[in-house]
Amino acid sequence: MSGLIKSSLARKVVMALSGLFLVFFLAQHFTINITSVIDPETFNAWSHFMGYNPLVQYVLQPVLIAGVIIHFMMGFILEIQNRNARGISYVKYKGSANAPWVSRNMIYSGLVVLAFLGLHFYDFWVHEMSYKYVDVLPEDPTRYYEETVEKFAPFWRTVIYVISFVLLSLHLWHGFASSFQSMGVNNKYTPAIKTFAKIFAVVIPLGFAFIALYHHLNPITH
Amino acid sequence: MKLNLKIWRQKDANSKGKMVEYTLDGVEGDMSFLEMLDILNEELITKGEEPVEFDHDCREGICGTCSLQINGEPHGPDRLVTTCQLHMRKFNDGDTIVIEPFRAKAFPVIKDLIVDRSSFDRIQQAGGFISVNTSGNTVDANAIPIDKHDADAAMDAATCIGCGACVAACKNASAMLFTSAKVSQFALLPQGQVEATDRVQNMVRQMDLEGFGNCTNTGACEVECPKGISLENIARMNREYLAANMKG
Repeated sequence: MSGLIKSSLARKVVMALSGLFLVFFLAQHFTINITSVIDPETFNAWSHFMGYNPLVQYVLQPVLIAGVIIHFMMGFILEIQNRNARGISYVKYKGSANAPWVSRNMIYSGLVVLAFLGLHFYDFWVHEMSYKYVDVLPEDPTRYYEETVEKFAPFWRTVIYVISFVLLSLHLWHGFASSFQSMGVNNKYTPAIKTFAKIFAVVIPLGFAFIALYHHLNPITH
Repeated sequence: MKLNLKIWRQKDANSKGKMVEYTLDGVEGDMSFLEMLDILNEELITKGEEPVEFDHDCREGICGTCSLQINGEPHGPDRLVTTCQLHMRKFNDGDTIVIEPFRAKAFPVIKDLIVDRSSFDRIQQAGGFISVNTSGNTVDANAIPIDKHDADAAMDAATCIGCGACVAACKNASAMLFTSAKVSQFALLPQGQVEATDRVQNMVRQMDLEGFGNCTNTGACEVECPKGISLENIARMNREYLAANMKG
């Protein structure tokens, strides 16, 4: 087992498992967020639960943050190794002849998503932490819907979110199904896995973009 | 046809190389790519210049010796052929053809277009074999019943000629397709089971030691492989590797 961490195959498995975990998280995140469009009260109830449940706050949240860090740190390590493995660059390299653009540019789609996560953390997580632990404001199970809609009032933020979701879609388009291959799954179910992964890669980011645009176009009027 | 050639010239392993341009006239569509280079070399020799060094042997597409990155693709634009089986009819009069050696840190250039692919030999030596008693009482391999699908899949994996196109094509210079083919050709057969655990661990360890990149599942290797080795082999190697490490 000692050589496992240094192994290229094991690192890819770490990449795949953390990626799949984040895919699962995205599905859960989307399920809660879409209620902000359908029924604000349900959204408030779920958000309050997520914000104050000890299991979510002290177990799942650190696991999620660890999952994100592991995924991008491992991504950087692999990218550096991969760049070094070529040595001298080709004068002419026709990558488009044999591999899709998305599969060759995971580092760039990933970097955009990572930058977006920085903004997203600042927008919601930092706000939430300061509400609870810095300002020590009382629990208010009705505040979440309004806070969310207000976030999407500025046009620039909505645009950044939507562009990030496009890049997230591209990242998932290759990454989701690819994680199965990294874990050794390539069999009669692979075509179905690929189809499901591509549907997921389009539907979920599109849904997130819809939510952002919906709240931008439907501000709360007092 | 008349061609403009841009060819990587490098005196030896320690020298710095550069692209050199040549114009070659009288190239015919029926010529193979290597025959075209032969003609260029004849012209260079006649002029008293150093011929372009390139690897070749059988010229029948089965030995895995020829290489070359042609217009950004290993073995050129054609599919399922090696450079020796690539014909000049795939190009047009007046074309510019960029010819480079296969690029990977684990494939250092020896001279011009020749690279040292002995890293593949070392991966093979690390575990790409089975131990068979050859002291006179060898059991006929055909006497062991093997499922037809497994036998076919093992044979498909064994058609890998070790040319290195997978490494050359991969944006990460990964040797996963080659190594996985060599693991698979034994993993699928009963004769390969005895050393299965050590084989995959040792071959992957050697692959990493040689400095090849990691697989990011772009599939470029499968597309460019002259023998059509499938990505399924990489998944099989991943499975074998995980299983081997679970065993310890």
